[in-house]
Amino acid sequence: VIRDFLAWLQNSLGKGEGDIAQSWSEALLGSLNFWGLIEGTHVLALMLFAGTILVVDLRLLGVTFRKTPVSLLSAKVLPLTVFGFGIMLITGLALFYAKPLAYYHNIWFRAKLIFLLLAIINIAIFHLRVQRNQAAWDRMERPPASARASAAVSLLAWVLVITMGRFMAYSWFECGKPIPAWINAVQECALTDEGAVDLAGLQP
Amino acid sequence: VTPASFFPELRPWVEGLVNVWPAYIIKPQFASWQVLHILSLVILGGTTIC
Repeated sequence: VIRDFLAWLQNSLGKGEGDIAQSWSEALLGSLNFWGLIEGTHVLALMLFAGTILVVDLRLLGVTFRKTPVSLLSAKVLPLTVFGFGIMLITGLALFYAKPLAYYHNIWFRAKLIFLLLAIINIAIFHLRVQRNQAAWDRMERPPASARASAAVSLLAWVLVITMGRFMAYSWFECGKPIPAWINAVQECALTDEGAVDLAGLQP
Repeated sequence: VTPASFFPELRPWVEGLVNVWPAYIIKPQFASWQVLHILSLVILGGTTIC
């Protein structure tokens, strides 16, 4: 169902009459500069979003701004994080919209979504559990283990999200290429027009 | 007019860079270096604001 929806999004939505008509997704991908501008904005927003998360996480780990209460730093920085996330989400969805099927069958994209989910779950746990007694450790130079663990998981998850995001641009494991069977399975390459080619099957 | 009009030695020098350190270390792991580059941007973004 998801794949059918993405195929419609990529090939049909916004398509006019005639042989050379393009869908909106194809027009975005084929645009001279627009796609590049969106990608550039995505990276600039990443500097704002992940950069501010980095600072708060390092404070929670007791590495930076040790004399500043966590609540004070969060109050100053969090609005910027939320703003950055908004821009990232809009530009990220636009980038996905340009090549939905390719990303859907991309192992790095799938891994990115998993680490994104991990980061979101970590944020939820931090707000619902770790922050409950923040008043007790707000001014501590080295916050308690639960807060430090949450910050460490956050840093790890976002670094992995960024890494997977960068690797998505490479065609190392594109469906249709000879790749290991398990990657074909993870990417569901058998469903694609290019099909699944098992690397082991080609080796003498 | 191209840069080579003024600096004719530029092109062969640039072409030879691929065989010079650190290029021959970076090139086989290019994607990982790109990740490091982006993570550096993240540090730059955070430290600039705070």
